[in-house]
Amino acid sequence: MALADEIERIRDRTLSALDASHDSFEDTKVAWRIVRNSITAGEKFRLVNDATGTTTTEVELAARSAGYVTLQLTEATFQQFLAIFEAFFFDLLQAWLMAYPQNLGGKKLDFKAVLEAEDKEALTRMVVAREVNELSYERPAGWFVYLETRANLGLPSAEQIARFAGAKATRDALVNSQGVVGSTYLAKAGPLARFDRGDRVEVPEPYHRAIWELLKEMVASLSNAALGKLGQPDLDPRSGRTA
Amino acid sequence: MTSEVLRVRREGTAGPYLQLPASQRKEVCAIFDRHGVYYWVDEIILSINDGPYMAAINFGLKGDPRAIQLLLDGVQ
Repeated sequence: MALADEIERIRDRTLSALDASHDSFEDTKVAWRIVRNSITAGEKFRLVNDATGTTTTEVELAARSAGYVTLQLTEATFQQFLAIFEAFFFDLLQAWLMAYPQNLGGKKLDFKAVLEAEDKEALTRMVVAREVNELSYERPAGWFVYLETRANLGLPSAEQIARFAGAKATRDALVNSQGVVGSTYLAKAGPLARFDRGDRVEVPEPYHRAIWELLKEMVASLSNAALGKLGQPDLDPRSGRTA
Repeated sequence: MTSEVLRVRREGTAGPYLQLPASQRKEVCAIFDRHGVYYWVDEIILSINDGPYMAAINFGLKGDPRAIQLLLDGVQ
């Protein structure tokens, strides 16, 4: 597949996934609102969870649902937004590096890998995958510096990178430290840290929405900048950089 | 098996599923087991307005609603 087609495919798939995730968030909120309205209207429920043995009445369900939405649902979809973006970023980078492998010309390979590879493309794919995997462990600022040195897209802006780093730090705190803020969060979030040490991170709905919009904007602008670069006459066909 | 006809439902995007009285779960699952039908049972059973507890059996995205319905029709 040509690089332009590949970038468009990655972009469109990502934007659809972000929309689908946000739709599921809103739809689930509405579903819970319908449940609460029906309880207010006099409906009676009784649920039994076979796994835990917990029995729940409509009154208890209504009380719990607020937490389900403001905590579990919001945090789960927030994490999903970040995961979707990360997949986008590394797929885009991988596609770019596969098209312009000269970028990785200095990488070393075991001779065994060379002997066992089916062809040059398989070798290139292996080197690119390893490079991208190693980068994924770095902080987000490093991701974008890397992208800039390989593709010089001039994006995202420093402000976008800082906001993304703050969101990623929130996501990492939720996943790695049960949401409790520690030095790792503070270091990752940098000047945009929203909490103090020992706090539990929160994902209020306006922030949830703002990050979703930020990620969509970054996906669209990075993809379109990459596509625009492909059409430029001074694009070096070996390195993928413009003069 | 039951006085209520069981109908495989297919609305939504999570694959076909069946809603049935919780008291019939074992019997219906035994049919699926005998015919090698892939399924899982929701952990939650639900009673609305003091009605009977209802359960749900899911067949996954690859579930074939027509084949499952034919199987159920054959034993109902």
